[in-house]
Parts: sequence; structure tokens; C-alpha cells
Amino acid sequence: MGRKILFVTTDQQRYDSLGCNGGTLAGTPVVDRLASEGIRYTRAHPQSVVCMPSRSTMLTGQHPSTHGVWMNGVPLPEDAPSVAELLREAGYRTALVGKAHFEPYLDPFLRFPENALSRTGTTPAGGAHRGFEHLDFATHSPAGSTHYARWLAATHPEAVGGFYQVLDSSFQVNGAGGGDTGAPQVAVNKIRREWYHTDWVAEHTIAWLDSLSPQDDWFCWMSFPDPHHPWDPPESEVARIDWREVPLPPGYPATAAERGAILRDKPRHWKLWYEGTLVSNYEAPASWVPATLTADQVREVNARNAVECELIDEALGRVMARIRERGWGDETDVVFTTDHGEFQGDFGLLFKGPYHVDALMRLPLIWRPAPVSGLAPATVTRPVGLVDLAPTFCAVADVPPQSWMQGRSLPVDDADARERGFERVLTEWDSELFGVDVHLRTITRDDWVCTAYRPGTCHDGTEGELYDLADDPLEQRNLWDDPSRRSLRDDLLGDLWDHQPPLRSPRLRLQAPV
Amino acid sequence: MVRRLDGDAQRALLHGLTRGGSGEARALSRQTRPNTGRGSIRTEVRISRPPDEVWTLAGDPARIHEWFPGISSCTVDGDQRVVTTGSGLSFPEQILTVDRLQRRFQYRITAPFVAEHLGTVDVLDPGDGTALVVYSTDADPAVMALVVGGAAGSALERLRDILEGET
Repeated sequence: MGRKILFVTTDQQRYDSLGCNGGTLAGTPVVDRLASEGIRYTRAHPQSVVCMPSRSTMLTGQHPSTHGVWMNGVPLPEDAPSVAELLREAGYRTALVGKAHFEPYLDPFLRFPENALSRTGTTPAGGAHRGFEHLDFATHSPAGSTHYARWLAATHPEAVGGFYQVLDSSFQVNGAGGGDTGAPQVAVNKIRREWYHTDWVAEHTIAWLDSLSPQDDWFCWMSFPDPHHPWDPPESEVARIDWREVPLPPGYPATAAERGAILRDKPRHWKLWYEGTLVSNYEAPASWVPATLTADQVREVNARNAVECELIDEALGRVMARIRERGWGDETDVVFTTDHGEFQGDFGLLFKGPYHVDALMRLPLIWRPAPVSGLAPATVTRPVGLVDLAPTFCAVADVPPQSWMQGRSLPVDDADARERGFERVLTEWDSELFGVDVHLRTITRDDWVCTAYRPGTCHDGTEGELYDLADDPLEQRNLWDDPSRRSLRDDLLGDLWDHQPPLRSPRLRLQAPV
Repeated sequence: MVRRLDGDAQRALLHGLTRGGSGEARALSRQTRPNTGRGSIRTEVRISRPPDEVWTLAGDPARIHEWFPGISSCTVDGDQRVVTTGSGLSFPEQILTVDRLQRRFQYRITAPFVAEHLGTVDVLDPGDGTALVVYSTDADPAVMALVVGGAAGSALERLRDILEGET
């Protein structure tokens, strides 16, 4: 028998949402314990700050330029490399329970296998899809072609209407507000907790684990849709955190004047979005103007977000308990992370988009190696990426890493990271939507983050961002045009362009909004 | 038999993402934004077959299910067409143009959730024995343009595979 792998992802969760990372709003004792027993990464970055490209990186071990999913709505080819397939070929039982999103959701033609699968069961034709022999899908609401949606509609139809309506009547991301403050994507959801998708994902994970024999090796991707908006957790749980007592985040500039000054210092699409002049991407409500965001709305969003993080932590605790009951506790590696972050009030913004700052890029990442591995607890401060996950799973399973993987097995401590040259992490953004295109390339290295803009609708290719993460952790002073930083900037840019991943050719086609 | 759906059901077929909804939701301020309203998407493919041969398939309103992935069947009655998707839902459409001389086909989706739609398939002759097929989708709401236009791109690839595979 080998080591088992529980790969836990959330969606759009900030680094500072966990107690082990300094978060004070949500109680996350289960993940905190994993961190204390394992390896906590303080500078883990995604290779894209939106779902489909980032999740495709986790599966393939490749940067978006190479796997080809350059924005949401571009499906990952069915024959793309998959670490799950490698593990399956090595004898592992494989499952993905929860949110996949390798293929577009907005699919009235039911063209994509993941959407079609919810109608036929949890076992894909041919025995596996992307290496997973068991697929049991859920997303942020009871809408769409997922197993969760069909289950809720069939068993508790009265609960369906309690969720926030994700899209508006124009099929745009909904900007309507709710709750006490009218914050966008907030709603009172009367659903019983045990019917909510967080508990559903955990229970279905447990059910799959229970179907295995004690001798099986397994790789289970348990993928929670929360705390991604909408922020509509079960109302029975909302009282855990009184939003009126939630402090404003350090990254929220207190006055409109401060927000304006900070945003003016950044490339122009930041302020254009804030003011409601430009929406460059589908991931934020087109009808919502960030400048209307109030301090109380930030508090309420963050309170509900924290409740969702707590529910995830508790759900994970139940899965961990079941793993121990099955006798697998000592042989199971647990990796906990997310696909990208969320503004949650930083700079006066919500949601996400082409903005490469820590709110969206600094991710929670915990690797609790199986106790039988004998690896000591550690904190790794050097930069790593989600691109390093697939090689890590290979290392755990004693499967040789493949040449198509662009990352390396995660370092087990800073000395290991130094020895193996973990120096930089790259993130990229490309979007083209209804005539608006934005293109960013970012390097994070030596406590600096440097983003170069390629020409697009509102950029001429000379713009950029340069932040000193040690001296300016809130990234409020853009040093791109600071003459005293010119040589540093040039050095980072040289490093950035020298390490660009190979481009997939021909480029994959955008097929849906998301 | 084609099943017609009302607006709510048609909306639900769009992945059902607009289902549910909080009764206490209230609208925030709105203003005109660049990616709201009408959207326009164009996709194209070069097919190594003579344009007239390509037109025989692409220009026949009753044969769209043969080359458009996700459309399982269609019925045509005069200028009315109803296409049925793989999930069993249907879209009513009006055929606007079937021009053999220009090799142009145009139609509009008339389902209530689409304020405006125009689909245009042009089979062009580059003069080298091949055909350039252009599928344009204009729609309000804009997202519908990308949903249909995105699928149309796959449809053109399928059209090419069918026709070039027949050689």
C-alpha cells in the first residue's frame, strides 16, 4: 500500500482567511491543525486568478499559456495531460467531488462532458474522465448541470429558491444586493445546513471513501465551491459572526479620496472599473459599480465569507475523522489550497479580475504529509505555485514526474526550497470579451511583485506595477515609474520574460462566458 | 415531437444559472457598461471543398443538427424552425434568409429570453477551390452572443470535419 492523497480545494479564498495565516474572523481549527502538523506556505501563488485556467493548472501541472485555458470559457481539451490519470495508471482509485470547472458551465447545448455527466451518473463513459473514475459535481448554487443541482431539485425542491440568483435576466453575473446592507451577491438563504453544498461535498466524499477497500490507494480531489460568491450560506449559521462587529480589512482605504488616489497610481483599468466605466471580464457583475461599495457592505460580505470558511473547515474535519476511522490516518497526505483569491474590500473592490495583487494571488496552501513520511512541520516562505501541485502528488505516490509538468514537487522547508531553486512564481492573465482585451504577465520574487502589461484595449504596453511586499504589503504604492527602482524593475522583467512558459499552438477558442 | 418552453424554462436551460433567487434582493445602481446590451461574435473556418458543396449542407435549414454539436434534431415549417438540444429543450427560430446565390443563411432565435438575435452563415469563395465559412452571431443580451457564437465555432469545426472527411 502507498500513501493516499486528499486534495482539498476551495474557491476564491484569501490567504488571510485562515487562523494559521493570521486570520481572526473565521475559526478554522481543522486546517490550522493540519498546518501545525505539516508544511505551511506563506507565498503560494496561482498561475491565473480565475477558476478555469487555475484549476487546469492544478490538474496538468502546466501554466495557462501551455495548457491553453487562457481565460474562463475556454475548455481544457479532453486529452490534456492529467495528474489524476497518472495516478490512476499507477493503481490509484481516483475521484473528484465538488467543483471541477475544466469545461464551461454556461452550456445550453450540453456540449461538454462534465455538464452531461450529471444526467447519467458519477461514472464517466470509458471508465474515467481526465483520470477520474468517479465524478460528483457541485457548484455555487442549485443551478446548472451538476449532481448537486439535480439532487437538491429532486429531494428538497423547496430549498432551491433560497439561493442567490447567480445570473441576472441578461445572463450577466448578478449585481443585485441583499442581506442587511444591500451588498452585491449577498442573500438570505433559508436552506438547512445539511442540504447546503459544503456539507453535500463532504458527505459525498465520505460516501466515496466508504466505497473503497481498506487496501486501496486513492487520490480524492474534494473541491468546495465556497467561499466564492454568492455569499448565501445557510441562514442558521450566519449569526456566528455579527457583521456589525467585523473590522474593516487593512487593505480597505477608509475614504473615497484615498481609494481614488491609490487607484490612480495603478494602470488605468483599475480606476475605470472602480468608477463603473469599464468591465473587462465576466467574473464581476457588469451592472455593479465598485465605487458604490460601502464599509458596511464590506463588513457583511466578509462576515458571510468567514461563515462559509468555517463550514468548510468543519466539513473537512468530518472527512478527516472518517479517514482516521478507516485506518488511513497515518498514510494520508492532505493538501489544502484554493484556485485564487478575492478582493473582499481591498482597494474598495469586490470579486476578481485582471488585478495581480495579493488579494487575488496570495493563496492559502497547506501540505500535511502523511505521518508515515516522517517529514517535520515547517513554514516555507519562498515562492511556490499551484503548478507545483501535480509533481507533488507524483512524489507522494512515488510516480515519476512527467516531462510535460512545468512545476516541481513542493519544497518541504525553506532550506529545501533554497537548494532546489524556488526563486520565482509566475502568474498570467489574458482576456478578450466583446472587444475588450487585457493581458498581464507577473513575476513574484524576492519580496517584489512586478506586472508587465501587454498592449490591449486600455493599455499601450508601457504600463506596469511594481510593489515592495516587505515595505508595502498592501500594495498601495506602485513603484513602476520610480527611477530609483528602474534597475530592479528591469531585472525582474528580464527574469519574467526569460521564464515564460511555452505557448500552446494553435490557441484554444473561447466557447462560453464562463 | 418538439417541446416548446416558456421563458422561464428556456432560461433554465441556459444551464439553469438564473434559477433560484432571493426575494429580498434589491437592485443597485446601474449604468451603461461596455459588455452589457448587445454582443457580436464571429467565427470562421476554411474548408477544403468547393463552396457550392459546402453550401449544400450549411445552407440547408433542416440539416443543422447534422453539423451543430448539441443540436439533436430540428423541424422546419415554412420560415419557422425549432431546434432541439441534446438536453431535450427547444429553441424557436425564424428563418430570414436562404440565398443560394450569395450562399447566405440568416435566422433569428425568437425565444422570449432573447431581446434580439441574428445568426448569419456565409459561405464565401476565396477563389482557390476551398470555402471560407463565416458564422456571425449578434444578440442582446450580449452573453447570448457568446453562448451561441461559442457553440457555432465548434459547429464550424464539425462542418469541416464532415465535409473534408467525405473526400
